[in-house]
Amino acid sequence: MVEASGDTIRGLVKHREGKSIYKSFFFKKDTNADMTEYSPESVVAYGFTNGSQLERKQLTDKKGNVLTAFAEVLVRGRLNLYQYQNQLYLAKQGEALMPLQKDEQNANSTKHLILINSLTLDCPVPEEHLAKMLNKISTQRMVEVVENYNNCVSPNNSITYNADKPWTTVEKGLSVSTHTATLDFNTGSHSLEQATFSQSQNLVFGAFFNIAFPRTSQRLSLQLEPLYSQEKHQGYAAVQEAQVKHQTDYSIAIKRLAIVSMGRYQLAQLAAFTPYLGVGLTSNIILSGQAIARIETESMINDTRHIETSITDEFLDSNLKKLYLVPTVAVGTGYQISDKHTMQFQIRYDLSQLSPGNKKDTSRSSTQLNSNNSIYLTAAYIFR
Amino acid sequence: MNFIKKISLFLLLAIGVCLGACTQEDVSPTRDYYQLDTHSASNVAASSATFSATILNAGTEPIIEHGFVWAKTKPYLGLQTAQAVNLGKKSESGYFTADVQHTFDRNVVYYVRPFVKTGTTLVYGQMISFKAP
Repeated sequence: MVEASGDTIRGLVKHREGKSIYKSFFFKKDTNADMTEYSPESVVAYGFTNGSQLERKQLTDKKGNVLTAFAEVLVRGRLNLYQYQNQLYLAKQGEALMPLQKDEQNANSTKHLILINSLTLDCPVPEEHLAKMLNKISTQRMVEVVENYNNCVSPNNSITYNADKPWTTVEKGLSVSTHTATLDFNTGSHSLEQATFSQSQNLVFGAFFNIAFPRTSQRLSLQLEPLYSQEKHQGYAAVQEAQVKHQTDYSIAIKRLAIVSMGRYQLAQLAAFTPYLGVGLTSNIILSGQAIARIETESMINDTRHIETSITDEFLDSNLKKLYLVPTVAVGTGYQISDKHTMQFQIRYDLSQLSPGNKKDTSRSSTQLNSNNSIYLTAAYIFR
Repeated sequence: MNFIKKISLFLLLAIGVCLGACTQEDVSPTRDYYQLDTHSASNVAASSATFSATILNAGTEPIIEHGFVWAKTKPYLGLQTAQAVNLGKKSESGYFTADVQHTFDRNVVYYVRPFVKTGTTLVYGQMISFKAP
């Protein structure tokens, strides 16, 4: 960190994500020292070796408030590019930060392009670069624009921080899971909704993708998992009428494609372990549902108990709802076995009971299948 | 930091244990009567057919009669109203079969189902159909 006096002190900065990095940071000189929080009032700049650099700047935020905060330096040169929260700023050397923003009331606003042009008159930005930013200000494109300008006006005099980090990385892998769930049906058409299903287990095979954005965040990423499973569930229902008792055993086979989309937050990087938390949505697509109901009807005829057996496969009809979304939460960890081999282990829970109040809604025309207490235990191999 | 390391190790362990040890419960209660599963009729000819079935579980009473009943109509297909073959007592559950000599009408659908009778209970298996060639 750089103190107000201009002295540079080397030490350890606690890693944080989000808006807090612009307000303050925690610093200690060595591992045994106590952490101290520093704000822009007492420190000129702070940063990470070969990583992000933040400088104290006076700026105008998106709401129009003028404030002093740490702004991250994305590109340094004759023209500087800064970021404060999700707002980009341009500034010539030694000059004030100018917010780079579109007029939110006017979709056709070119205010940001005018600012770029005015600051790069001595080495104009090519039209095709500007055209790409007509509708949206992209951080990646702005970095390229400022780099190009700096190299144009003063070759080899532009520094882009985190330049060695890609904007996007994708981890790919294959996974195998055990899926534990208990079925539950919402239907107005059959005694199926009275059935109790046992907790069943099945194997799930799938792919694993973790899309990270190293320049934007070192901890947040997007995890996608397409999963395919063939499940077998056993259920039972008993209905007692005046003279007759019906006992039904259900056997249901389901082919399911689940697509999990989760925001993932990495807790830490601990030697070989990289534990994380995830929150998102699971899209369950029921590819097919086959079911057999074995109905045993018991009655008394002439003092003899009669049991009549019938078997039907017609109760889980084409009205089975084919797609449903459920929230999902996960905790897991990556484990680096060697330089080339990484495994990932995860426990994920689908929160399937979205609307318990509608459970016995007899007006439903479709059969809603819920997988209660749906837990996935996953092991994935990550390709390098 | 040690805490997170321990959590990671716990996750590894939990997954390993559950992959191998989790079992499935059975929600269907054990019946005190014999349950039957009917198999397809085989060797069906104009004057004969082979019927087979399996007793799925052990009942609480001895079997005093077992066999098959068949007819052209579904309703009331039972010992009192249909053709029957009675194989008598049976000491244990499992597979049983009967070669039936009977003149079946050609191209007519027949229905057949097995039965098991104890001192207090008469159980019929599910009905299946067949057609004589």
